[in-house]
Amino acid sequence: MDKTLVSGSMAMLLLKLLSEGDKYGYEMIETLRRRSENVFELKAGTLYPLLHSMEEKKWLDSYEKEVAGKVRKYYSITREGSKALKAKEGEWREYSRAVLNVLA
Amino acid sequence: MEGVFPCCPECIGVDGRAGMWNWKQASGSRREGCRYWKQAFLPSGFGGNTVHVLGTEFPPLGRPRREGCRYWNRRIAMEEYLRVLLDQIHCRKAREMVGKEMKNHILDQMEANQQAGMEREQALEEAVRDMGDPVEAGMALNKIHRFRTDWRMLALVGLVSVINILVHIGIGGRDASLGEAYGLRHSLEAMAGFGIMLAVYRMDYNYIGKYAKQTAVFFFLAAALVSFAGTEINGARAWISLGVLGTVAVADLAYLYIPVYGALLYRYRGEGYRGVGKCILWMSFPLCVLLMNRFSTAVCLFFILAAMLSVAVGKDWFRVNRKAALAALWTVFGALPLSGVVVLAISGNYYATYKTERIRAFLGQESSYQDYGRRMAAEYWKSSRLLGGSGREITDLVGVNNDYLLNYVANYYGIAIMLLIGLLLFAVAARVIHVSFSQKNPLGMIMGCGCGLFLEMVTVIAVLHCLGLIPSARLFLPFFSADVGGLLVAYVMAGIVLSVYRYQSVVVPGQV
Repeated sequence: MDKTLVSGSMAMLLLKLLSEGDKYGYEMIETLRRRSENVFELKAGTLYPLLHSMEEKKWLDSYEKEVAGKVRKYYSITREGSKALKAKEGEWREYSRAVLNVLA
Repeated sequence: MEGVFPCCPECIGVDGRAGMWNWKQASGSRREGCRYWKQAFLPSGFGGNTVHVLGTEFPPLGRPRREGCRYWNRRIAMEEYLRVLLDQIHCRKAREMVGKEMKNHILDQMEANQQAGMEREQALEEAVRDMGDPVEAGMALNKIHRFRTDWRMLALVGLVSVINILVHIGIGGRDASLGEAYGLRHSLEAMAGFGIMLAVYRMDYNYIGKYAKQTAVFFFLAAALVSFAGTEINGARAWISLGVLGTVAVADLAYLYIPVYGALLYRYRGEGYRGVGKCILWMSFPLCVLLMNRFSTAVCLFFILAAMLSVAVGKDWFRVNRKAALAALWTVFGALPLSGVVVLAISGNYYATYKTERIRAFLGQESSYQDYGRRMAAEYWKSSRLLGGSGREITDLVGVNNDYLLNYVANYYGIAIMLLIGLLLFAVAARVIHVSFSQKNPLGMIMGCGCGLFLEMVTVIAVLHCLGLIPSARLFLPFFSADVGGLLVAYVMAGIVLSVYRYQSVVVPGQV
């Protein structure tokens, strides 16, 4: 798939994943890959700058938690993040409907 | 062992706790009979260009491979990835945070690869490859994790400082009793204050969090010492004599306890009612200020500390019933301490007579205290013009360069200039509060919040004082009054907030 199609919506996809529960970086990549049936194979080098920039925008919060002897950095969605997700979802549905209408 | 890296992955046991780069942890897990152990990659001659990752020094790239080491390429791949990525990030503190997260990700991926059937070395190699381009990722992270400067706040404080200097040069020119060099001396003090602010801004405020208890104890001891051994002026033992340098009002420095108290609140997070209790005990510092006979300072300080504790409770730091806790706190805060102080003041003859009478007058009781300063302040205010001097000389207000500075400005330059100064100070305080409440680091938030509340409170009091609406009391206008202690407090607090802003993207809570 053309990468430019994916990159613009990646923040929205990550926010969606986090709206379902707190996750750490690797878990997000795996969940995204599995749910997209291997279409979205995000590199860590792309994921972390995106997560950190969303944290800067206060869309995400992070905390460290020890699980099975490993200290992992978990991300959780904030109230602002939920608002941003709602807005992005709306934009995306409008855009995809328009594209489908043209293709139909 | 210095500079020696065990190169056998089986010994190192890359298991998520002891990464290959962490030879200190690895050194405790040598596999019996391992022939790679203590084989030096880097015996000598590889100085310069080293990089620190997670507290471990990496040797520079390009060193020769130890003959026969079949793990060399594997190890260097991961080291190199992290080195290249972290090299793009200019801030050392941010490198540590990012490096830790990246390392964990590689190890998670490696484990998953192993579970998928790969050999350990291959799993690690694939995990590094899956990370993507380290330069691109490092550059993107560098844009996020860098020191930031709150130029708006710096400009505001700079403007306030320039106006302050101009006003005091004017005061020095009119009031010969202040001495010929008054304007120059105050200008130097203001510039020194600005310099101190810049120095504090460069320092990491998290150190206050780390040494909160020690710093708080120092404040208690210093206040006790001054209250017993300080110089007494007008019944208050709040000054120390520095010989030829003059007498300095150290009681104003008590306000610097505010950010320290913020750090204490942060320290007791999650400790429930026990934590709240400890924070209330640390709130007893204003009692030490009372020992110096500085009633107004103690009361201001008490209310700011109480407000900070309320913010912490309101933000659910202590995991207690917030509504019940806040209601109980403010019942106690409102009733007991103030009534205790008033009873002590009125019936215990603890204070100087004029102070006791002043408190009586303030409470609306019959009093012999004649608030001459308040009456005159109101009179000068009423005769001031909107712009320009009133034509009246101020001859009967003591402290036009300090307590009555706003009256001086209104009288000689006009109400508009006085309002401009007031608005600028409110803008600084508002900026401080805005920066503080937008912090994701709770330590920075609560420390800045205290500083903002302080600046807001003393500015409001100074304006009301100028208008003659509150009884005259010892106070200072932040950044303006010719009081070295007050000037220092205002600039240090501004510096702390600038430091909070500077480190917001490079330090995680608790990291120093």
